Amino acid sequence: MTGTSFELRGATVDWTARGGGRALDGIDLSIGAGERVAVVGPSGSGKTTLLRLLGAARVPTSGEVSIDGEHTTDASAKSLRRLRSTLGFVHQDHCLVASLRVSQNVIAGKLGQRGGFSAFRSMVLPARADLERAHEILETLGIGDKLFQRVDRLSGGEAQRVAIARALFQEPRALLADEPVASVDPARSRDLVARLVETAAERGTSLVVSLHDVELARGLFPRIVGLRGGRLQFDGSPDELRGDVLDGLYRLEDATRD
Amino acid sequence: MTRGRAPSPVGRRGIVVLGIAAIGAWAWARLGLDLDGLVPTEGGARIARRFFGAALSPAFDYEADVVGAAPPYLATIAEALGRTAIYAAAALALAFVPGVVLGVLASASFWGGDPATVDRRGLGRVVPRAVRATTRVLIALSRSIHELLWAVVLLAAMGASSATGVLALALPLVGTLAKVFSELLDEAKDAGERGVRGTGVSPFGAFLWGRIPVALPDMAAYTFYRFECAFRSSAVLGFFGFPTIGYFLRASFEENHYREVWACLYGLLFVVVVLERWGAGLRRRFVT
Repeated sequence: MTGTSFELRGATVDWTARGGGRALDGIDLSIGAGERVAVVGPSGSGKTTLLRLLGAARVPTSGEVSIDGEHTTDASAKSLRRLRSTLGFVHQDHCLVASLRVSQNVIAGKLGQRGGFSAFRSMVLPARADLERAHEILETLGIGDKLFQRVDRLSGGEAQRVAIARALFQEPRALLADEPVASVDPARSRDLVARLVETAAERGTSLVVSLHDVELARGLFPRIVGLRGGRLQFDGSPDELRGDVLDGLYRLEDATRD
Repeated sequence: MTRGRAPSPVGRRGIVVLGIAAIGAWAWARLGLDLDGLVPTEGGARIARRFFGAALSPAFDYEADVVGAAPPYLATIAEALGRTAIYAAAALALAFVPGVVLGVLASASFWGGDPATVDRRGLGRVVPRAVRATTRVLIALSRSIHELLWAVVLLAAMGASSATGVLALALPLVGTLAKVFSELLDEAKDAGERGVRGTGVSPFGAFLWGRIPVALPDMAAYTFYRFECAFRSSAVLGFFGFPTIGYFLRASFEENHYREVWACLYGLLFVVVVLERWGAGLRRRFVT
């Protein structure tokens, strides 16, 4: 299995027509199959929007995003869904289904790959193999004992790891994670991101992770992309992101655009 | 964005509250209500004293001699209460599935579609709007006629069979369940649905696995509350000749057997309190 490749050309997401702002402004970026990239930048710089474009959750209002050579803007709703089923997405706010169990939330990762009846079965009467796989993934994330808990009774850090487990259960060709350690304590977050990087490397999965912790990004990723005010301001190796370059990225005044 | 004029201290909310109070005062004046009407006449006061006096000594047996081998009085009451509950349960069973279907069709979230492609659909925008509007009209029709009015109408048309009573209870229940279900579905947090959609499922799948489970505990709790309401309505159906507790209540009342009336009322109260406690327990378990 090879990782997914992404190609953005002038990708823009502009909500001004609907009373919003311009979230992304002419992004040119290519990410090769199996590449591991961290996205950094101040809040409001467009990290989440960028990840949503890569995950085919949104299409750009202008410019192009292609995922494995397929332009999302022209793609049918069905092809977008097929793309999404190959992309594991870890949402910043976890996006778990409250009132369902951890096991159901993790197994839901494959809903997009399963048709009607087998999807229904996997949610209501999950196969032993599914449960074992879900448990195995949760174990590696340190919450194997929570398998049958309701997710609305979990702590923020636990919920975040369930969200990661769901994306891993999906066995995606690319893993896209939006601030996957925002609710995890600092001691744990390095471990968790390192595990994502390791898993991606083992399987040849492409990995794009947005992080607010620049040190974490520099320590674990060979390539870092910096966003500021919806524009691509930095794209290079961790060594290049230092001194003035780093200060420029996080400079306080004018950090976000309207 | 609002700019310019500073908000006035009275504001729109104050005007609305004053308006509501004014309407209430007008209605009161229009009906010529005064509290003198509540003071009973000499004879009325005697009846009232006898009626409320009987509250302390509800009947445990028939107040008058009964002809033939009638079952013990308390058994009759218990059976009538049981039958009242059975009418309510049958009505709820009949109304639940149509209530869910109409509730889903009437909710905006069911027709939301995929946010990535929602701008593209042309005709796909018209059909959902038409179905949703039709459903909402059906729901309003079902709700606009009270179950007791349905009972009167259906009695005239079909006679006093059990089916008539159950149908009378079920018809408005469909609309009530559907209306509240659609609101609960729309108010459910959409995070789960977004998460499930990210795995590549269809909008229907995302609704089914990402939204319905989130609304389900509240839907279950509301359904149970509606059972309680159906039980009370079912009791009143007895006044129209259905063999629920209301039938015995009315018969005792007409014969001035006030102690029997109180036995029926205490029985009703007991069941409602039990249902209420039970429902509260379920809510605690379902809704965290």
